[in-house]
Formats: sequence, structure tokens, C-alpha cells
Amino acid sequence: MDKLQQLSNIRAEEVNISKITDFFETIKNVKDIDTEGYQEHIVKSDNLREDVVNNCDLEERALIMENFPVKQGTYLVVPKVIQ
Amino acid sequence: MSQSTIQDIQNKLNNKEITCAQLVQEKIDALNASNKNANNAILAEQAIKQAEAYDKKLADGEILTGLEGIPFGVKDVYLLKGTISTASSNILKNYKSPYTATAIQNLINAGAIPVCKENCDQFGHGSTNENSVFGTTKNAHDDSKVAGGSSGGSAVNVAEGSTIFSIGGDTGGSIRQPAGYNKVFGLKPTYGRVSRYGLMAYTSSSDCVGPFANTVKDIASTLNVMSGKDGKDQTSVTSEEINLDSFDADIKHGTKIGVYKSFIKHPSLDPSIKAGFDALIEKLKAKGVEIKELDFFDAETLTATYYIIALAETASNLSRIDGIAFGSRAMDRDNLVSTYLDTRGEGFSTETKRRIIAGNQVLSIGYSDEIYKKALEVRKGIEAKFAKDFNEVDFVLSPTAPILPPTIGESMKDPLAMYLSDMYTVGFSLGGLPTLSAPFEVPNNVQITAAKGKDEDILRFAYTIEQSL
Repeated sequence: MDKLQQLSNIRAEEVNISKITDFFETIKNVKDIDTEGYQEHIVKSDNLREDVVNNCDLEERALIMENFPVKQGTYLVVPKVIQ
Repeated sequence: MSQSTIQDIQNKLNNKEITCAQLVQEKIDALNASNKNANNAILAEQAIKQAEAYDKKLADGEILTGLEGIPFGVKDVYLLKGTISTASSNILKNYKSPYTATAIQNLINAGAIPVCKENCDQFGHGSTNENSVFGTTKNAHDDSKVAGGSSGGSAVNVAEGSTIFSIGGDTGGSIRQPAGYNKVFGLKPTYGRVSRYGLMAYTSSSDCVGPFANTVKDIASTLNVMSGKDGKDQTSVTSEEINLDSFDADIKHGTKIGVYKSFIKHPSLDPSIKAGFDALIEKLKAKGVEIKELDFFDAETLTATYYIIALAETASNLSRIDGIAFGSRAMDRDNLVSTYLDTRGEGFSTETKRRIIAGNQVLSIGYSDEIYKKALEVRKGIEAKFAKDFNEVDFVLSPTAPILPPTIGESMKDPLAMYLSDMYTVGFSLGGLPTLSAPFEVPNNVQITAAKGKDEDILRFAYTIEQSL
């Protein structure tokens, strides 16, 4: 398995990314980028909401638990980390 | 064309020409009867129950307002509490939404009734709606052609009249292009105008929530309901309500339209699309609109910039889907690493795995500076160019796609060709600009783009074209 699959946590022997990597050459060849007039717009770091704990209601809690792939009673069962 | 399908239907409900339960049942029957494979789930039971509540309201002598009683579709990447939300993937095939996305909740609060979860490309990864564990969605007008993507099911339902409006998601053209392939209206609002909370993230920096509908006013009224600052989405912004009553039907003399030369002179542009676009421009000129040709980035640079950023962000966003706390988990593996590898290997499609793996390459040492950070810098240049252009013109008009809808099966053989078919939509996504895909003259629709926050201007302009051409 190659390193990119390990990095991605995906076993994917059949996947070929060579077509996508053609884009890398295109971007390398872009010259003289004029950013004058650019204004940051996505996240304003001076306007963060309060970091508060919001408890979910019983219905939401039941739905979250229903989604557990493996459970024992009300506990989520996870794979062994240490053998 | 009717000014508002929503208003027409609500009038019928208020005049008791049809009951809400009959209306919803009619739509459910149409969804079930369709051969387009446009839906991953039909929400018959809940929808009828909600419809009966509105019938009771009418029986009590009240009238329906807002979106009350109007059936709509939801792309299967939005959470809707208690329903299965799959993103058309194997890994989430049994995932039950614990809460409802803000945009969808706003519509429900206004009275709209969700009737289906719509087929789409897996996690938004595609431009044809062929990358779905539920199979391909067929074009509304030709069974041999693709519906477009990624929000193909939503566009097809609106085109067939099976939903009055549908909510899609647009990251690099996923509303605008299927709107074009199926000849309906589709809006990508200004980035941040509609909360992304409850939308499964693809590329967080350009993901947008938007409507499909059959009239401009329907687009405007659904946008009004969904818009607004949401404490659960830090990138959401406040916006003013659009006043639908003051829409003018006449094209304003002297409106300035920009046309990007690199788009309309691109060699891959289909001659029939070029001819339709030229014809529309001539008609607008005859109405007193001024046309200005503008220089812009070439289509290949726009596509490469978009995909590099999108790959990086989707690799990061989908890393949380690993079958540990939710989703299908590969069982009885020897160790934790094998569990991850097989869960994600079996749970994602080939195309989704391709994008995640390529995204991790983009972000890895040796590529991050040279590729990813360079793409971010080019994006700044694209945004700066838009800012300058919209000082000179009111709107930019462009085709939505360079090609006609491909035959089913063609695009999966050549992913690069599929990526390049997004060349006219991705630039406006990188700029965070509002863009309407509108079924005027041009095969596959025309895109109308304005400066950030000018969503209302686009809809007013589109309305004048809808009413006068």
C-alpha cells in the first residue's frame, strides 16, 4: 500500500489520481498574480461566538446512539487501540 | 410563464380548489412514478401528516401564508432530523440525522413540507450524478443523458414538477450546472448568505446552500426564508429581505453587462451554446443593455485552482467519517489501522477516494507550499479581479457549461474531462459571488453573476428578462 493511502486511511488499490495531478502543473505555471484589491471575507476572527456547552435533548441523544456502529447497552464500542 | 408557482399553488389551497393532503399525495405519486432515479428516499408518511395539519388550519377558517403547505425536495447531503441522510454513499447508507440543517429548518418553520431526499453525487463529488451508490439520475428531458451534478436529483424533480422547489448545494457549480442540464432556475447565493449548518461539508470555503425552482420569484421567496446569520455557522452573514412586490418587468436601459472573452472564445465551447449565448446578448442589446468584453483568467487555471483547494478541503472534511462513532464500520479487523483502512476503502466510491487521496497529496510536505498555497494565492487574484470588474459592470453573463449533457456512462471513463466541464462555474465559487443559472435562450442556461451581496440585483434583472424576452 502506498503512503498516500496510509495517510488517507483508505485502502484503495484501484484508485488512480494521475489525472487530477495534471492540475498541479497548471497551477505551478501561473505567473504574476495580481492580488491588489483583494479583501478577506470568509471568517472574521474578531467575531467568534461564545464557546458554550449545548446539551442535546433526549430525542437527539437517542438518534446519536442509534447511529453507533457497535454498542453495548448505552456505550459505544470502539476497536482496540492497544493489542 | 407564471410569476410564482408557489403563489399560484397557495392560492389554490386557500381557495379550496385542492387540499394540502391531495397536493402532497399528488407529488408523492409523481416521485414514485418517475423513472429518473432522482430520489434516495420519499418521506410520504411525515409529509402527509404535515399536510393534514395545514388542511385543518384551512378548515378552521385561517389562510396559508409564507411557504405553508408547499412540498419541496432536499438534496441528500442535508440533515433532516429522524430521516436517513446518506450523501449517496455506502458509508452513511443507514445514518439517521440527529438534527435538522438550519436552512431546511427555516423552510419548515415557514410552512414548507419536505417530501423527499434527493439523489446526488456522493458528498458532492461529481458533475453528472453518476457517482451515487443509488445509481445514476437521468436527465429530465432525455433518459440517455445525465442529470448533471452534483445536485442532479433536485434539478430533475423541479423540472418534472414533482417538487415545487428543491434545495441543492453548490460548491463549484453543483446547482447551476444541473439547473442548466434540466432547464430550470438554480441559484448559488453569495457565500455565507445561507447557513451551512447541517450540510455535509465538501469544500467549506465555497459550499453554498441554494434553491431550484421554475420561476425567479420562487427562487427569491425561498432564498428569503433560508437567509440569515446563524450562530452555528461562523461564516454566515446577515442580509436584507428581498421585496418581491417591487420587481419591475422592464429591462433597465443602460444596464452594463460584462462578458469574459476567455469563456466565450474557449475552443471546447459547443457551437449551439455559443449561438444561443450570442442570440441572448443581441436581444439584450436591442433592449438598451450595454455589453463590455472583459479579460479574465483562462478556464484551465480556474479549474485547477478550484480543484486543488476542493481536494484539500474534502480530504480534511471527510477524515471525520471513519465508522467509529457513526457510519458503517468494517468489522473484525486485526487492529485499529485496518479498521480505518477497510471502513473507508469499502465505504467510499472510487471517485470520492480519488479526491480524498489527491487532497492528502496536495496537503503533504513537498506539495503544500508549491501547489496548495499557490492555489490560495491565485484565488486571491481571482477575487481581486472580480472586485475590479464589478466596478465597471453590473453583471457578468456566461454560459453555464461548455458542453451539452453527456450520455450516461461517458464521463466516468474520463474524469479530467468531467472536471473541465466545470470551467464556467468554478471561478464564481472561488469568488464567493452570487450566480443565477437561468433558462433563457442558451442551451444549458445562462449564468448571471454580480458582486458579493448583490443577490437581489441578479434576481431583479433576471425577472426583467423572464418577463420581457
